[in-house]
Amino acid sequence: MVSTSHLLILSAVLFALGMAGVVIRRNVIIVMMCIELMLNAVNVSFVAFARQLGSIDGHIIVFFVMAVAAAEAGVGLALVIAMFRHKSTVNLDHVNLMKG
Amino acid sequence: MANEAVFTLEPGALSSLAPMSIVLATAFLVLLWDVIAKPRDRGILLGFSIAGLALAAIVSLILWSHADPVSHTIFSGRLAIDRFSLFFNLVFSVVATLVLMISRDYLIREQIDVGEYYALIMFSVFGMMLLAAAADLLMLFIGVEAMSIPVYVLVAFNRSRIRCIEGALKYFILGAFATAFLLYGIALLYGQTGTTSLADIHTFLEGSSGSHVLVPVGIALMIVGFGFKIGSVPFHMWTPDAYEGAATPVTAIMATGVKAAAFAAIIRAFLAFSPSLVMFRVVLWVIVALTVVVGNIAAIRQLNLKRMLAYSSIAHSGYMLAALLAIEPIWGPQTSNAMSSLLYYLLAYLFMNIGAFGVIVVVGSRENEAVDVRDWAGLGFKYPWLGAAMALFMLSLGGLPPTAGFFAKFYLFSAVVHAGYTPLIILAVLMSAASFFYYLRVVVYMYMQPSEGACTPTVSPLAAVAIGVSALATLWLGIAPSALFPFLEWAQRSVAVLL
Repeated sequence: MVSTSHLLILSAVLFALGMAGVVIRRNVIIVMMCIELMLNAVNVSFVAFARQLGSIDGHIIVFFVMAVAAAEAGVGLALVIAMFRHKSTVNLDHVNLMKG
Repeated sequence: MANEAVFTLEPGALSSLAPMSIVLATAFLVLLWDVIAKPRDRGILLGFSIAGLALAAIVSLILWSHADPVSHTIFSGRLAIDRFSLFFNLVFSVVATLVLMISRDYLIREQIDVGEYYALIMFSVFGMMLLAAAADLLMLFIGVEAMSIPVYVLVAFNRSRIRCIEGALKYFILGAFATAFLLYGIALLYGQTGTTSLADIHTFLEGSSGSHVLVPVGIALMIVGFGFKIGSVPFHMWTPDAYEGAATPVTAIMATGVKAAAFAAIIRAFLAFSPSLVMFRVVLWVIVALTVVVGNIAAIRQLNLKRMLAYSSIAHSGYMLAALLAIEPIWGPQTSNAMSSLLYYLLAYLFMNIGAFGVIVVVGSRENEAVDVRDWAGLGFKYPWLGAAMALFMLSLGGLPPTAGFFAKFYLFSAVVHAGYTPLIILAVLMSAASFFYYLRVVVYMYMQPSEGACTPTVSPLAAVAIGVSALATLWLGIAPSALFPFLEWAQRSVAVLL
């Protein structure tokens, strides 16, 4: 039997992996994938809590989060394309015009 | 409890949504009009957007005067259409109108005068209104995103300039990163309390013994998420780059509207979390101290005006965050004073910032954006009105007595001192004294350096009106003491519904 705490640990591990990816990886596409991983890790938490509480709210929130994540990914990919047109690279180390 | 409740539409629910609906409808109509209108005169779109905002402001005012003294929530407690959110609706309408007025020249000279710009501003304003009305963590999340996503696009709007893309990319990645933290915090609070309603969470926290481990973790994660949105240290890294990269009018709305909306949500959330907030006093204290110090110190070495204003907005976030320290576990007059002084501070901050960015827009040209303070040498004598306005905004941002900035700081700091945080406020006052170094540098360059003729301002009537209104508001809030009290009372009555 999978308990709520198992699911919460899974969620926390996925969230930490996503966070590490955002901090460590330099490829914008991978960084965006890691952000998606973080959001979906939170979704696991929502579903786990909703199951434990027997409430529908958590399930509903997941749909909202997925919709928002899709909108965010749309804007993010557009930004990546705009950057690629200027620099012909998707490496974040080359995004260094402004400092200080 | 919400599970058994059948969804019912409260009487008057739809009409109290009117300001948001008007803004959203205007946004869609602007998009549609831009496509079907044959003669592509974007001046019409600008006028239409401003008309929509004016209508939303008028409806907000009417609703405000008729609003219940007690909180009025609609959609089963999801949104609170009370004096607090209506006050912010009005503020956002004014902010967006002023920003649109200073945008016009910039868009034309950069050849990016397309209808999407106006629509995106309106979508973002809709998100801000939603955020200020959110009485539920889910609506808070939707509001944050509905506000942020259009702003990500707006920052990158001038996509022929590489700096715009770079600023937008940094803003987007860190913004989305912060959203994940905010959402995780919401999930943990939901898991522990079994509800997403702020009012129910408040009731839960009041009755709980404090042994719920997920509640502090959830609140901490939400503080991280909010910290990114308002640009408080140590979550401020994106602020200078995004502010510098973005088109100047977009920077203006990021520094004012977005920040005000985030603070509206923070006020609502923190008042709901107040019973558990005691354990975060130290954390908040450290965040405020760091934000005030880092913001002001980093601004000192900025010769780029937009970066300087970015760091200055970080410092102002720090001052405003200090007001949250005065929230008591059981709300009393101290909380009420602190919150109304925070609203007054926001109001003053909005006008002086929009004014400053407006002057930067009109002083710049396509070849030279006039963001280097050295290019402003001698400007004060060649363009006396423009110079006087900029000097006024700078002195007000620093907090010199006869301006709005001084009274805002005075009320806010005294509210926090009454709550017993004297050492922190001494630090804040010292730092705001240090801030005169970089604010006055602009004035010194404008009036005391030989003119080099690097800047050729072109002031259109529209931008002149926007800057003039901001300057008058900055002065009026400061000079006329009788004007002060209605505003303070107004702010106080807006907060009163929350208490």
